[in-house]
Amino acid sequence: MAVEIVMPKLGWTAEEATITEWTKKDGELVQRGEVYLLVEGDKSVNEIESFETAILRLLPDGPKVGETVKIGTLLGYFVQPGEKPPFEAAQAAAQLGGQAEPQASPSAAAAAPSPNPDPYAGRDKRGPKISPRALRIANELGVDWQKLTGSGTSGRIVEADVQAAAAAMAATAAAKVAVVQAPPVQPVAAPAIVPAPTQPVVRATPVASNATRKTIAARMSQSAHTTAPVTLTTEVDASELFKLRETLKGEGAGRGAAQLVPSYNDLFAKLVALALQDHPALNASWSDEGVIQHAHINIGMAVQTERGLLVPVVRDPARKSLPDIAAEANRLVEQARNATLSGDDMRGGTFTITNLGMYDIDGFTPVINLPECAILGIGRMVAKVVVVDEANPRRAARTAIRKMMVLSLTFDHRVVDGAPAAQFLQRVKKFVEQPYIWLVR
Amino acid sequence: MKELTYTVAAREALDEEMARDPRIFVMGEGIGKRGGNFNTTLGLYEKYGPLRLCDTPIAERGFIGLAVGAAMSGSIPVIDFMMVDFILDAMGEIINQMAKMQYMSSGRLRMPMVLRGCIGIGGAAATHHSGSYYSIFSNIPGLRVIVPTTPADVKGMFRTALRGNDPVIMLEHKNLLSNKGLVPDEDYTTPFGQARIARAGKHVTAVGVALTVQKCVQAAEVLAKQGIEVEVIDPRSTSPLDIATILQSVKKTGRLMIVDDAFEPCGFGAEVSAQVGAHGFDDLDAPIRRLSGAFAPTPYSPPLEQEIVPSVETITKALYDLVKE
Amino acid sequence: MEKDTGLLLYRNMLLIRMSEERLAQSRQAGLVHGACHTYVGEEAVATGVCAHLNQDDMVFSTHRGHGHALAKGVSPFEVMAELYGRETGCSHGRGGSMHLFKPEVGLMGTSGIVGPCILQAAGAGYTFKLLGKPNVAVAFFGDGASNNGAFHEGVNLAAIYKLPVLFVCENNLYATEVPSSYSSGNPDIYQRAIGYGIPGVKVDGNDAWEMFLAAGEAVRRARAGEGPTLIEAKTYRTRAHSEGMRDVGYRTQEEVESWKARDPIKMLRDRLLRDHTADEDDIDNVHNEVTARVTDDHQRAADSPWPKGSDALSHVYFEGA
Repeated sequence: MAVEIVMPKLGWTAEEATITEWTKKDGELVQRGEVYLLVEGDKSVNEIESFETAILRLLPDGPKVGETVKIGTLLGYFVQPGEKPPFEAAQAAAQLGGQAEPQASPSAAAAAPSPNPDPYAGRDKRGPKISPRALRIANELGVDWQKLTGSGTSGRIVEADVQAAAAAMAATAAAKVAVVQAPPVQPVAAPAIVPAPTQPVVRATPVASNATRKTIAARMSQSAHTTAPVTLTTEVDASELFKLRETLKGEGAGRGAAQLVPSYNDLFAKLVALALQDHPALNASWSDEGVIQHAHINIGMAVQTERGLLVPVVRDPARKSLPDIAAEANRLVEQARNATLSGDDMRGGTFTITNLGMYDIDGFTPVINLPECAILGIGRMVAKVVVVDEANPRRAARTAIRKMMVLSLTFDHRVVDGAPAAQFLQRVKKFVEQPYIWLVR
Repeated sequence: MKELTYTVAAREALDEEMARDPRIFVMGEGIGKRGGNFNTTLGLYEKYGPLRLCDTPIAERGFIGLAVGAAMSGSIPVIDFMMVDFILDAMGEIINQMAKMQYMSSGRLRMPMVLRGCIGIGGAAATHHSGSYYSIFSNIPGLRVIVPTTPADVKGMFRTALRGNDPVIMLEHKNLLSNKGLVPDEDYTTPFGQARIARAGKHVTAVGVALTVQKCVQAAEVLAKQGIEVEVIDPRSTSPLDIATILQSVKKTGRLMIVDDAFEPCGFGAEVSAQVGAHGFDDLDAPIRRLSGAFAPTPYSPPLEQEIVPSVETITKALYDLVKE
Repeated sequence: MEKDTGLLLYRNMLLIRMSEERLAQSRQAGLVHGACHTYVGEEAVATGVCAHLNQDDMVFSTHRGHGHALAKGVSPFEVMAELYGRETGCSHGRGGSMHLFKPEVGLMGTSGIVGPCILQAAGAGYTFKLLGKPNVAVAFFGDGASNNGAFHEGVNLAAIYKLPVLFVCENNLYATEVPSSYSSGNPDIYQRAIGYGIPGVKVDGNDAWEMFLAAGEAVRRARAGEGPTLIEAKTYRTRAHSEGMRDVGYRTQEEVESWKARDPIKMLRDRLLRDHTADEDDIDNVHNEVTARVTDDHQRAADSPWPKGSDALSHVYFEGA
C-alpha cells in the first residue's frame, strides 16, 4: 500500500522547511534505514531515513529542490514493487497500456535490490556499517558518512567510499568559493542557535540559506520573550591572564606548530567551567518540571561564520587540559568555517561564552542561548591606570598600569537569583585575576 | 653475492662462526661424521672433530638439558634437532631452564645457545614430523624464535644467534631448504625483530610465517594480474615480533590477513591480530582475517595433508575476498 | 685427619645448621615468604664434597639447596636476604629458597624442578672438556630425581663423553613423602652406575669424614679425565619436607629419632674429640664464631632494602655486559 511522504517536522520551532536534495531517485528502491531525502530547516541539513524498504515515487508536480514548503506538504509516495502510486493509478486506469512503469535505477547505491530486506536494517540505530579506518578518515575530511552507501560486499562503508565523497564535496566547495570569498571566522556575541536535543540526526550544512537566518531570528525572539534576562557587569584585572598567555605563547613557539597556544576563549572555557563547578546554579535550564541542574559542564563558544552564528560546544573543559581544549576548539572553529560542523558538535551546551573584545567592545548585554540559563560576554582587554594594593595591609596603595577587561553576565532570573549569579561572576573575576588558583586544580 | 641453497647458506654461517669462536659446538643425532640428516653439518666433522660435532643418543631432553648447562658455564651449544616434534620431550628444559636462566640469575648467567631444525607440513611426513610450534615458543619470555625464509636471511640470522647471548630457537621450514637465493659475500648479520617486506603492495597486507611467506608472494603475483597489489610481510622472527612494520603496512592498506601453517587458537595470527586491533584499529577498513593450518594433527595421505594447510589458491581467494570485503 | 680439615668441615656444617635453624625461625616470624626446604641432617654431604672444590668448579643443586649454596661459599647473609625477598639476596629477590644463584662462586643455581641439575652438571662438564679447563661439575640431587628420566639421560651422556662430573645422590629415603623403597626397583642407587659403565660408591652421608674421602677420590678422577662418578650418600632430613608442612603419616617418630641420634655434626664432634684432632676449646671457638656470624648476617638481611618493583622486567633477555 502506498505510503505518503510529507515534509517532516524538524525540531520544535520550524513551521516550514526546504528540500535540499533527493538522495534517491524517482523509482529507486530504498532500504529501510537508508537516507532518501535531505531537508533544511532550523539551520541544519537533516537526513530523512526511510522506515521501510520500498520504491520511492515523487509527485510529478510536487515541490522542487530548493523550494521551501510548509511542514506536512505531500512530496511523494513509497510503493511496493509492482504497485502504482495514487497519482499514476488513476492515469493508468484511464490509459491502458500507456506509459512504461519507471524502472528501479541500476545505480551502485541501490545495486541488486533484494526481495528480502536486509535482516539487520533498522536494528542498528547508529546508521550504516563503517570500517574504523573509513570512520577516522570521514572525521578527518569532514565527510558525513551517514549519507554514504557502503561498497563493501557486506555493505560496509570503506575508505574508498569516503574518499569519493570527499572528492565530490571538494568539487562543490571549490565552486562555491569561486562565488563568495568566506570571511574570517570571528567569535561574536550572540545567542546562537543550538539544535534542540530531540531533533532527528543533524549533519553538516554545506550551503547557506535564508532558513538559517530565519531560525536565528526565531530563537532570538524566543529567548527575548520567554526569559527574564538580567545583565551584570564587572571590571576585572586580566594582567595575570595576559601574562599566562604570553608565557604559553613563548613556550608554544619553541615547540612548533604542533602545540596550539590556547586562545583567551580557550582559557575562559576552562576557567568558566571550573567556576561553574563551584556554582552549579548557573549550569542549569528551565523546564516545565522546574529547574534542571546539569551534571556535566559543556561550554558553547559563539562563532560568527559566513552562514551566520554558530555555537559549537567544547565538551567538559573542566576536566580537559588546555592544549586539549585548544585543539578541540580549533577543530570546531575550522569546521564551523568550512560548513562541516555536525549537529552533535552544536548540541549539549550548558553555558555559553561570547567575545566581542576584538571589536573594541567593553560591556554588552548578550542574549541567553536557550535552553541554557546564562551567557558570559567577554570585553576587550585594555591597559588602564588603576589603583592597586589598596586593600593590602602590608603594602602601600599605588597606581599601576594593568590590563583591564569588562565581563558581562546575562542570566535568566526565572532560573537563578541575582546574588548567586553575582557570586558566580565574582568567582570568574577571581579566576581571571589569579589564574594560578584554577591552574592547579 | 653468490647463489646458495638455504641449507648451504645456514651451514656456511655455522662453519664460519665455528672457525671464529672455539666455544661453539654442535649436538644432535647423526650430525657428526654423517653430516646431518639434512646435510646441515656436512664436512664440518672433518674440520672441527668429534668434540665440536658431537653425536648424541636419542635423548632430546638429556642433550638439551646438557646444552643448557654448557651455555651456563661458558660454551655456545648448537642443538641440531632435525624435527621440532622431537624436542617436545625437552619442553621442561627449554621453558623452565633455558628460557628462565638469565632472569633467575639476574643477568649474571648468559644463555648463548641455538636450537635449530625443521618445521612444517609437507612430503607426507605425518604427524610426528610435521609440527611447527613457533606460536608455543613465542609465548615464552626469555626465548628468541626466528623463522628465516631466504638463504640470505638464514645465514644472517644464524650468525646473529651465534654471536648473541640469548637462547634462540631457529625453525627452518623443510620445504624451504633447497630454495636458492643470493647471499652477500661479506660478513653480515641480520637482526631479530625486523620484518622484511617480501613484496610491496597497497591494497591488502598479508603476513606469512616461513613457507606461507612464499605462498603469499605467489598469491600476490596472481592477484597483481587483476590489479590487486598485495603487500607481503615476512616477520622473520616471531619473538621478538616487529609489529611496527605490520602496523605501518596496515596503515597503508587498511586490510590484514595473517597466513600460517600452525594451529589457529592462541596462535601467531591471534597475536598479530590483537596487536593490530589495539594499535591500528582506526586504520582498518575491514575485519582482520586469519588463514591457518587446520586444528587437527597432520595426516599422512597427500590428499588429506593438502587439505589442512593454506595453499596458494586458498590464500589467493581469501585475499581477494578480503579486498572486496 | 688434619685439624684444619676437621675444623673446616665442622665449621661449615655448623654454619649450614645454624643458618637454617634461623631461617626456620624466620619463616615462622613471617620473614620468609615462600617455600623453605631445609637440609637439616644432611649437612655432611655438601660439606664433604664442596671441601674439594674451588671457585671455578660448579655446583648444580636442587630445591633443598641452602646447604649446597652455603658450602660452595655463598654467605649466610646472601642466602637469608634472598629468602627474605631482599635486593641484597644472592638472586636479588627473584628466586627465594628454590632459586639461589651465585655463579661468581660457582653456585650455578638451585632449582624448583627435580632432575635438570643432573643434565646441567653434565653440560658444565662438557664445557670444561671442550675448553680444556681443569674443573669439575657437581650435581646434587635426591633419591626422587634418580627415578626421573633426567638421571638416566644425564648420567649416560656424562659417561659416554667421559665428562668431569660428580653425581651426588642424597638418598634421604623419601621423595617428598614417597619412600624410595616404594618408588625404586632397586633402592641402592649407587648400583645403577654399573648400567652406565662408571664407578658407583655408597657412603654414609651422615659421616662428614667419609663423605670427604669419597668425594676426594671422585674429584681426583674427574680432574684426571677419568670421567664421572656416582656417589650415593645415605642420609636423612630430620625436619619436615618444607617448613610449615605437617611431618606425619609417612614416617615414624622412632625413625626420625634414630636418625637424630646420628646427627652428622655431633658425629664429627665426637670423632674430632675421640681422635684428639681438636679439643673442646677449638669446638667452642667455632661455635662462638658461627653463632656471631649467623646472628649478624640475619640482622643485616632483615634490615636490607626491598627490590624495586620496576626491576621485575629486567634480565628477561641479555641486557649487555
